[in-house]
Amino acid sequence: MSETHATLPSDRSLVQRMLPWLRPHTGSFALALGLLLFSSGAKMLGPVILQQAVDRYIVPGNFGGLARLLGAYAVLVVLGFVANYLEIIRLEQVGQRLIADLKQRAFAHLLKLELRYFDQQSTGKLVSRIENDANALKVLFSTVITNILGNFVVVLGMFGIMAWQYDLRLAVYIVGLCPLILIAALLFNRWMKSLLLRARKQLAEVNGLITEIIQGIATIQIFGQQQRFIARVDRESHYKYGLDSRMTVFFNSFFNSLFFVQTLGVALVLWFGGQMVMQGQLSVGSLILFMVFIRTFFVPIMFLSSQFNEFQKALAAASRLFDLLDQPAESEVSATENNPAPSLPPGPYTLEFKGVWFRYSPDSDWVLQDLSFVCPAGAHWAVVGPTGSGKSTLISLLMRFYEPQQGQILLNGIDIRSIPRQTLRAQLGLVLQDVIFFPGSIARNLLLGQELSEAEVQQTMAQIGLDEVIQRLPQGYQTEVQEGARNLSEGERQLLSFGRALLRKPQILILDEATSHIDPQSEARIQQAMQTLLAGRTALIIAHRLSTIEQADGILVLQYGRLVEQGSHSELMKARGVYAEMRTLQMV
Amino acid sequence: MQQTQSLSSSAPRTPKKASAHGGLQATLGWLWPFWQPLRWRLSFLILVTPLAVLFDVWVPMITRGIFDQLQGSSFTPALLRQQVLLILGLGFLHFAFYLLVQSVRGVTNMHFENAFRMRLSRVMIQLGQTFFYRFRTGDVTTRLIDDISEKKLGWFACSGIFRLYEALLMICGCLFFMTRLNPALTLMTALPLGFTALFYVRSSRRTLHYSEQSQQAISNLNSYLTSTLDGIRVLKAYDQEARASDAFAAVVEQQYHKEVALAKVASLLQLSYSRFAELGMLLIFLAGGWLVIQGHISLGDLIAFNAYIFMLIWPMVDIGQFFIKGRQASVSVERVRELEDYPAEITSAPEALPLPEGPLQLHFERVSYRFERPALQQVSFAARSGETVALAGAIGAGKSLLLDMVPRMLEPQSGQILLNQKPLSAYNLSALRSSMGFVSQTPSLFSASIRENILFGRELDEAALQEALAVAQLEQDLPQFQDGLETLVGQRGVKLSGGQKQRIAIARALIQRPRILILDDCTSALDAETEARFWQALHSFVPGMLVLVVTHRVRTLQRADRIVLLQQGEVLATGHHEELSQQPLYQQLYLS
Repeated sequence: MSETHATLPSDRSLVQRMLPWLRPHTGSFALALGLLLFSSGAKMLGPVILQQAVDRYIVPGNFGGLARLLGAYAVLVVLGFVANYLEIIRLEQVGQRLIADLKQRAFAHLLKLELRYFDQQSTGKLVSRIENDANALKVLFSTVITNILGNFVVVLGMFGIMAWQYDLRLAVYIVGLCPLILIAALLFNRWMKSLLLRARKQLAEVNGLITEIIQGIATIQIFGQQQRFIARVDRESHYKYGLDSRMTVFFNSFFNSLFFVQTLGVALVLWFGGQMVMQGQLSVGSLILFMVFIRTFFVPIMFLSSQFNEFQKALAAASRLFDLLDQPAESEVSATENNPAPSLPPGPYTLEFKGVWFRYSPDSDWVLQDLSFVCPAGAHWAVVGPTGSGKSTLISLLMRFYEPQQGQILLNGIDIRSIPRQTLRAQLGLVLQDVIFFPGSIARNLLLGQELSEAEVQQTMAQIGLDEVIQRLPQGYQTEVQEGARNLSEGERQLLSFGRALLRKPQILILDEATSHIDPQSEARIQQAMQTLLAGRTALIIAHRLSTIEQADGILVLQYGRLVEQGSHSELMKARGVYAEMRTLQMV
Repeated sequence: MQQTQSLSSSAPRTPKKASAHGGLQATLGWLWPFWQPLRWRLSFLILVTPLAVLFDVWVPMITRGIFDQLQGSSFTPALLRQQVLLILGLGFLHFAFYLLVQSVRGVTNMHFENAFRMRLSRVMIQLGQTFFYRFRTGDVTTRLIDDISEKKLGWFACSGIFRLYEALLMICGCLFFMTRLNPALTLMTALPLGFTALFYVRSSRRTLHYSEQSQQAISNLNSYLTSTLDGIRVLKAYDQEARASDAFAAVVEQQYHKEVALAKVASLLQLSYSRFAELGMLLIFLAGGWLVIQGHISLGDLIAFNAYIFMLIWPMVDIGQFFIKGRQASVSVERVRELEDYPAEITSAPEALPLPEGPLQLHFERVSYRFERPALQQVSFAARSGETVALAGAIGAGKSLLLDMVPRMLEPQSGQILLNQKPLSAYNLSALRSSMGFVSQTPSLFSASIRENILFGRELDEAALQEALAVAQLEQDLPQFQDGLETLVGQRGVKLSGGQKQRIAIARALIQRPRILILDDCTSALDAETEARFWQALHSFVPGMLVLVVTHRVRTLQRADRIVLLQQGEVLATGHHEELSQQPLYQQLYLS
């Protein structure tokens, strides 16, 4: 909430940006507007017909005429209803269409952003940006037109009828109350805003606390802290009660006052109008008309005044969405535009880092410093080093998630910055510590858009001993992956992510601590799978397992972002340097 | 809710079809005790609501008088002023009394929300682990947050009931005056109004159905977004941006159709009310007009009737709403009672013993436990003060389950655990638990400073804190935190690494120098060097401690005095590392 105020652009520029989206729907808007005018007209005619009924038929005693007039009125009510309904549905469809397009657009754009953007935003915030902010915008499309425009037409029309057909003075008395109400509503909204915000925050506070307690219930019980946490809930919940109570009293006061103003209007009309009837200046029917008008007159105004906050929310949401859409996407060819993208020759590839320097932002420390090494084609290199030494960053650079500030990364001598990201990433098989699944079947999660025959998939999975596991699932490869893949064991999930990498037939494999969460039994299977996986490929492996590291063709030892040693296990042990020391301390 | 249902709660929740009648009675029965302490408020609402209604219902009778007299010749401006002032006066009284009634109702809704939440929280915080195995976090949260809220149960508890009361009074009041004016015309208007209430109930059900579907669409969209955005690295690495966008478009499209369908029924419902009133007005003018022409009623009567029609529409809606919301409320009450009625299994016996002084011996004797399948079978082993016993085995072997039984988070279904020859249940529960330090697999941190998370409500001095920090190897991290020990962590605090969370939890467990320390694979995110330093420091910190540890690390197993190797809930072998190194499963698990 608070973040929005800093960058809130003017409302006008927001509207200007939104206009192009509305343009394709001009026809729908025009139709809706026509329907709206018709139904508003029908609404306004109602009281007029009543006046006619009283003055022309009931008072003189003409029932036939009354029946005909009311019959016509019934038709009008039905037509007005149909027009009103069609208009609302039409606008709802257009509004929802716009929202849906906006969501799709925002999401597609979001996926194109640099990883850096995702580092700064929590997933929850991004989800809320796309879902909640887009929905908040709907108010602008549908409510503005139906309610503001519609009610404006009705109010103005009524005033016109009252003033010109009946009595200007009486009309002015009624309308005179309007600005009063609007000003009161504006003040009330401004005044309530901070309370509203506090109440919303407090709600989040209470909900957060309860969630935290439920998640940590075992800890609370073992440490005997139940009473203390109950006291905390009591405090927060009671504070929420206080805020909510104040809000409900304020809201009730405001709306009841509005109703009282309506009574005031009725009294005014009866007082002045009654006198005019007595003096023969106004018919009884006209007095009834004024009284009915008052009722229809105040409802839209009350509604409008309750919508101020919604509009403000919608505008804030719009500016947040535009902020997202304004984020620059990952640029295709960044640094080396003079070097046109060559097609990548078939692998295997020699991988070279040449004087690479990298930091996440200009004011932070270097994460990688002057990193240079060559990993020959087909070789398997292990990367070791304590937490924070830059191992994962090295991989992110190779994937082109980030670009180094200095230096080059080369595949067979070609700077990876000149290779389109898609081409580059298609050659790299990445297996991460955390296994990620997308909604859909296991087959879909394995293939991730590749087109392979079922036999091919089964054969590959069999190589890593996974075919059997998948076949045992209720629907085999078509089994839906449940939320967070809870229907699979940790080991199976990790194996699936290996399978996913393997199916791409990547030229370079990158494993980022891919086995650290796994129990040893599953790890044995994974070790076997790795043999299959690595055969004939260049590989970079971040690992804790001794066996993996010892079997590697070479070891890169990183410390504080610098390459301090490289060589085979036996060479490094002989050298009695950092690696050997780490080994004796069981640090790897 | 049965276990099967809560386990598959990713599926759309289908509210139990409680029969509205029995459900309503049960709901009111559940609510009554909450009303009892509020007798004053209850009487206020019962007594003042009729007054507020009366002041409102009276007004059309005065308007009627004005219109009737306007047509006569004996009317004077002074008389008119009198009547207008009477209307104003009644209007003001209605304003004042109704404001009071509405505010009391609103505040009482909030009061109930708070009261329900506190009562449920008190119950929930004492519930045993089996409850939390059965009900997922999200499910429990929904009951404590959503079901009891001032929009659902809280609203129904006061506003729901008293709006019905008000509606009935309103209807009685209107009908009373209308019958006095003309019984035949009254009957003619009452009919379509009854229809309005029925129409409301029927179409609200449909609206409810569609709005549940739209809620489902929203939660589908959210879970799609969450899982995709969490996996952004994989997505990019596998060049799946375009496909993910397409898949998302399909999800959005689905939501679009659900929303439009909802709008179609909801706006039909909304538009209908004012049209009902208009059609009612039409009927009144037709029939009433005839009566006026025939001289049976006056024009003023007709105008009063017309006013009553408009007054009667909303009470009809309120009656309908009472049943709709009542149904929702009874579903909520059922869900809440499920939590309340859950047996509190683990309690302290009335004459519980204090914990014995001196060395402790812990004996597991033929401990068994089963969920759907046997999880522990006849597990026996012992540990005593000064010993470190490690539990080893593959995932699902039952290691964590055994650990949970030591602080009695879970009781064995058969067999027993003895502490110095007496069952654990013989000891005072809080004494037992406060003698233990427990660190779970996934450490729980709470929204508070690091200091508060470690002290965790216990009053200990700075020296103890520093010592715990040192042993838990947390000292090295402190300079990284902006405000040191005062740095806020938890949901609103800074992001911590897995290892830092684990070490905070370890410090929390160590600070009161526990006699029994239980570590459930809680060093997995520590690098080997840090872990080695931790073990060294631990042994000099409390030499005579009884340590139970679950670990996957060979180095930790080597440090243990004894290893209990479990396979599918059974003890396969016991011994120290060298003894077990010939055991095939142990070899396969740890030495391959």
